[in-house]
Amino acid sequence: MALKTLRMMSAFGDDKLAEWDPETVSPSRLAEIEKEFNERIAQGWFAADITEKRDVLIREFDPNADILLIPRVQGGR
Amino acid sequence: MAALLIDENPLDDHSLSKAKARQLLRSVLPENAWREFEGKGVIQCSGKRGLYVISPFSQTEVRDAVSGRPVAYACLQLSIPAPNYDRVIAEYLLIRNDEDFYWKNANMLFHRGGNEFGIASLFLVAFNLALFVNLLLDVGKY
Repeated sequence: MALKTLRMMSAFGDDKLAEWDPETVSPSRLAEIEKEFNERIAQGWFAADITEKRDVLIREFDPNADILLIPRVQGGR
Repeated sequence: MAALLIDENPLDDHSLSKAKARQLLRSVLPENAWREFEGKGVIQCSGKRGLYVISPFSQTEVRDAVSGRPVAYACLQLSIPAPNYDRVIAEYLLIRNDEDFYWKNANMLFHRGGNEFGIASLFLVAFNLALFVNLLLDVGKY
């Protein structure tokens, strides 16, 4: 299975927070990645599963997905 | 990446960020939407409230799904500084997945057609017509 990534939008376009192989990643490493994911969601970030252009918003960490974290949004001018 | 960093013409941070965000946009968009974006510079995305035309450089246009006429302009921004392409990705994903949320959070400016007559315009036309008729009657007296 291909490597999966957790990325977040940033001033640099995006930053890769984590990369893992779902088949070989250790449970403790996966727990760390999930914690990072949950912290962002708690701060109001959105998460999208962008695996193979799936493009669906998710609320829970999926170790088999490429995940993009999107910051909070607000109305602009 | 090495090709982007040749000594003679190094890309600055801003250009690199833009290039990265554009690449991310490409990885998110379906192939036909990406081709359209490369050709026209905008993404068209349909929702239950209309057709959205998302541009990195201007407000998002909301068009009537049937007539194609603009009905509103939406303005949404990210809460962090990021390249415009990231905002395009966010808008695209929100419209596709949670259009109601998008409408609640974006500033919506509703379009008023340029060829619509308001009631004031109608009164003004009637008043001018009356003046003109009055002028003709006065001229007719002499």
